[in-house]
Amino acid sequence: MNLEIAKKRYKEVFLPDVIDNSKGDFLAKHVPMRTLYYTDHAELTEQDKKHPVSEDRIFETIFSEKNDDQFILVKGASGAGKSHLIRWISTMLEISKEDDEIVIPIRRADNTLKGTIRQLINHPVVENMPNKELYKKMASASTTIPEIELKNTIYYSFVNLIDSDDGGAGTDEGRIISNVDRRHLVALLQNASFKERLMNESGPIDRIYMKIAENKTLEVNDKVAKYEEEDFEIDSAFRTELISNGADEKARKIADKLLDNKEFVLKITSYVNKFRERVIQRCTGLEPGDLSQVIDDVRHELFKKGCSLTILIEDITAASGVDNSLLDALLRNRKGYSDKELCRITAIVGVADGYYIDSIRSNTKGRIKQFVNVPDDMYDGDYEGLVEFFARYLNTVSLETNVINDWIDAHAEKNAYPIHQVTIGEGWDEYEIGDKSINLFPFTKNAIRFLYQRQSVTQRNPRALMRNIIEPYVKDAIEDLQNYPKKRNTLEGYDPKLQNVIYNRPDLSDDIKIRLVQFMYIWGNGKDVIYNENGKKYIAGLPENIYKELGLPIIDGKIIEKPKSVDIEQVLSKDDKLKTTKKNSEVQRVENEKVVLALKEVDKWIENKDYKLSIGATTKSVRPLNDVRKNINDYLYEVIDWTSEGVSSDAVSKRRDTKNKFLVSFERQTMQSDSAIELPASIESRKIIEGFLRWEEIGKKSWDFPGATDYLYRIQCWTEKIKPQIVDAILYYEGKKIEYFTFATAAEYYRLILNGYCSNFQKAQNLSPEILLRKNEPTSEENGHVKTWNDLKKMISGSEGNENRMTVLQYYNLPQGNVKSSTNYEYDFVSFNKAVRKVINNGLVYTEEQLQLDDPFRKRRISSEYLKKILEKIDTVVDDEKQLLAEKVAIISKYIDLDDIEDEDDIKEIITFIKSFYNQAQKSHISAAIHMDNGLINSCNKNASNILSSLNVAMQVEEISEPVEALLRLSKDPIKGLSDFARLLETVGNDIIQTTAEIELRMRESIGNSDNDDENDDYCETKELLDECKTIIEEVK
Amino acid sequence: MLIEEIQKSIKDLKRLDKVESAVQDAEKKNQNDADYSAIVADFWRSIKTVSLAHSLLSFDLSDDSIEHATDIANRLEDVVAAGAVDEEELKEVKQQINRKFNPSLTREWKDYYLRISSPVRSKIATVGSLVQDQNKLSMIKNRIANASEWTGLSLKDDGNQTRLDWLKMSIDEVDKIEEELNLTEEIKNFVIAVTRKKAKVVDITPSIIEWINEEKLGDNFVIEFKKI
Repeated sequence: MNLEIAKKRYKEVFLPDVIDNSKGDFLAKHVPMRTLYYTDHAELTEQDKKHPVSEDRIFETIFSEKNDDQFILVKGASGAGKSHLIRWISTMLEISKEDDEIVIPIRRADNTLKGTIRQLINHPVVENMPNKELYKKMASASTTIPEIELKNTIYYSFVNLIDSDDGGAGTDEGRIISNVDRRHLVALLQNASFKERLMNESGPIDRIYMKIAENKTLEVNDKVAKYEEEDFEIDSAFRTELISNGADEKARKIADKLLDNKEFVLKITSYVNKFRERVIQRCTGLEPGDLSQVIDDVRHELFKKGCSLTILIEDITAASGVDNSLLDALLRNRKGYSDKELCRITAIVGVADGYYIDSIRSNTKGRIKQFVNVPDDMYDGDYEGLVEFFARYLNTVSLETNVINDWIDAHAEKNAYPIHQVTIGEGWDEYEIGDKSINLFPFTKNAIRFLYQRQSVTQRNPRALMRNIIEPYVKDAIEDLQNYPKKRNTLEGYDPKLQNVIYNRPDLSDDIKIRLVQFMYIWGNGKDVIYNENGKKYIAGLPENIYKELGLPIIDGKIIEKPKSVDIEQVLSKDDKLKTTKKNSEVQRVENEKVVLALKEVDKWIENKDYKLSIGATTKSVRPLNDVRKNINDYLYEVIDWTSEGVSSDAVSKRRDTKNKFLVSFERQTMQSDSAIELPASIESRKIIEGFLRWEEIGKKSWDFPGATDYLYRIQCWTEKIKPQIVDAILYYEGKKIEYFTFATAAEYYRLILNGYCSNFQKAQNLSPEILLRKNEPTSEENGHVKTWNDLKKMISGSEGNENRMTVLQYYNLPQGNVKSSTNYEYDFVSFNKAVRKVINNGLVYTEEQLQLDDPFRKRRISSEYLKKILEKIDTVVDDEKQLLAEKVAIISKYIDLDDIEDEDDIKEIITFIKSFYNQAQKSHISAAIHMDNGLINSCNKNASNILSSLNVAMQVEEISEPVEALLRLSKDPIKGLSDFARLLETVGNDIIQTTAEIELRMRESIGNSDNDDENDDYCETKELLDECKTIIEEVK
Repeated sequence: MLIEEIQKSIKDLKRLDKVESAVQDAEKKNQNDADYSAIVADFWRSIKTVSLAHSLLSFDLSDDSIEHATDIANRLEDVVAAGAVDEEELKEVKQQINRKFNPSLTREWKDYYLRISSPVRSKIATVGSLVQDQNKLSMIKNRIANASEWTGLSLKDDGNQTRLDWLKMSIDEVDKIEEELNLTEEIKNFVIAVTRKKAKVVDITPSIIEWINEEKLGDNFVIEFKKI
């Protein structure tokens, strides 16, 4: 490269040649096209593909015919090189034509109708014709209208034409859509929301506008000016929008019909496109026959002058709107119009494959008999051509314009093709052209081959190669050679030996390592071999000075003899990929495919700052990386001695068993995962990842594979480095120490209390750690507690309670061997005791803020949530219990004076009296006797001490305000203790009332039944006698 | 409080039982009433006898007996407090009367009878032989003897006077006989000694001889040898 000239020239050289490149640059860059197909039919067959021809041959074939009119259609995909070929033909024609041959090239400069018309009108032949004013009018069409106005004009032209149509779109095909649909379509087009869609940038109206108006950008305007199916594809969201915006009923109806109806959408699209030509003509003020009139006029003029016409149109889509009539004019054979006196015409017209199929009328197609097919992959099978293409571009960039022009003036003789002077890139590869050679800096042949192969098939046309490869790489080399090559490419099917050597260099930064690997593999031959030639040292096939030029270090390698011939590999077509794979299999044989593919992914990740590592996907290439992540995490869990780090194995397992929570994940993953440490995208990380990959794939989950020691050592060092972070990640979150054991313990104590196992304790602070370790089976449901107590008890005695208990037991259980959890416990009792004492001393009460409900690990957070559920209910439970207990005491107090109860004998005495009462009631046949419940009486008698104790508890609890303390007292179940007694007393109390009434009644009845008068008299008499006796006794005292 | 209520209730129940039992058994009731009336009447008679004995002979009951009597009177009232005879209570009172009160009365009367009848009998023994009308004296003796038992004290053997009345009259009659015999102290002592068979010849004083002659009682005395 000539650096100074290149810096000036590269921007103008690296324009698509369809934009106004100079003729000189065009020819200087031109690579002879050798793989063209010349047929009499549009579609290529396999047989056709076996007979490619060169551009020279095509030129010869076309221009050997001097008398007959010819129409040659040049077909190919966008960017394949159609315009380039036509331009070359035009250029060659200019050089070699006869004097009576008039050549009118219509460039696709801006690929608009206006541009096309202007080129035609401004040609000297037309300029001097009589109807020049008419032609000028055509050129001015649509020039002065503002963009938005023109777009609206286009839009409403469609609407008007459709509205006035009968459904046949003016064709002979009959009705394409029904009148109803047509009217509904009009309504839809008139809907503001739908119009906005179609008027969007890159929408159909914009595309049509771009063809009509001037193209002020340097962008290649390849888009066809027509409606596409997606313009009429309605989704439910848009349909809803129509409804909510109050769209016309007809608009909604056709929108419904278009919804998910591909067939109808196609029909409507095709129908609307039928109006395209007329709309364009209207908007530009052109008549269909205007351009064809110009052609006819030109031919007539030339006929009069005895000249012939060759018209070359690089892209017929530029004449959108008048293209069919233009084609008709170009196809008009003078022999059929002898009255018109038309000259011989040779028309060479370029058209994209899709446009030919969709937009050219079938009767027009039928008249075309000569086709030139330009293939997508121009250089498929033509490695030489490919390198020449690069070489010519690179050469042109380094040549002054005047040098090229001089060459053009000298008829652009091939032998006189100018070669640039090299000021940078000495020693880089060269392309031999004749007896000269073009320096390929900043490429090598290897690099060209590699980069070409990296392109997808549709991006292997010359324009794409220029845009995607030549331009960016040259720009990088010119602007920042010290960081060249900047772009990162994935290396596939390569021998990683050299890469390992480079990556193992501790003195190099990651950036240098990556750049060096890219350079040596892509620009060089990817081998760590060195040979000398002519006093120059070659490393990986590249001379030493190149490395120095790029600021890259020199790698030591094996010294070998210079290879006998440079291994020139042919450019691979897509069909040869398999051959390459087989050829590289020798290299790959020593490498596991999965390892290779996974490392390829890792390299992409390291080399490209925006690249995300595919983790979580299921494609083959990244499953090994999923496994690596898993294996790294498993390894850390296994290898770290958690106990000595002060981490409970339970805490470890809670982290470990939480899905999508990792100790280590990778930076920039496709699916983000939560982890303590992110492995950065670096070569060091690559080593770690590679170690685990090999452990899995080659060692088959063992460290028995070549080089394992080195990997293991790295991994162990790395583990030690990150261990403090890992330990912290388990023990802390958001700066807070995990406390789930505390909460689980408190909850377990509540469970024990509610089940009555702590009834001997007065306060929470009196509880002992040992009771947690007892079996403590759930107690019977038969108790005196209130519903809220039993409900809570049921809740915490279920699976949640069991799990919570396991947490308490397992936390300080030391792991035995490999067993993750065991029913045999080997306890760190000292730590357990200390931790439990902390809970006890806190009194089992925690505020919501203390509960760590924001712990991101669910398995730990469960303990907090569980305890919260319990704490929320405790106050209610205690209040309910107290209330019921008070009721029982109140009942008892109604019948006995509690101050009189000092010991159980007092209670037994009461019970004895009660028994006597019922016994007497039975004897006396009192109805209350049936209420005698011997069982109840005996039970109360037997439990007299319990009753006494329950009364005492009831008195105490009344004074206690602290809930846990009250709970502990209440856990003795005083309610049960008092319930029977209260029931008994109440029954007796009621029975006594009943009995008293019954006695009274029966007494009255009994006395009433006897001989009242006589009795009264008898007893009166005796009473008198007794009174007399008493008197006498008094007297004789 | 409950205990008190239970106790009251039990008591009321028991009472009810009794009442109902009594009411339900009419014949038994009548019997009970009869028994009651009889016992009360009997008691009344006893008390009346005590009263008569007290007024005639200054007979006083002991404190115990008075207490018993008072208690019995109260209990007898209680027996019918419910409106019907409490058979159990009656039985107990009856037992109290029969086993305690009546025996006390009998015992105390016995003692008192002996105390008052002994000097009378001594007098009779002393001067009985001096009495011309021996039949009368014999009648007096019988009447005094008849009043020895409490149970018969209120009996009216002749239909008019009770035995207690006759006792009193007999005692008074004896005192009158004695009075009529004008016995000096010397003569009384002599008569007593004679009655005791302890009189000696030397004891006979001229006044005594004189009295014997005046009263024409020479035939009523004999002289005997002292038995060794």
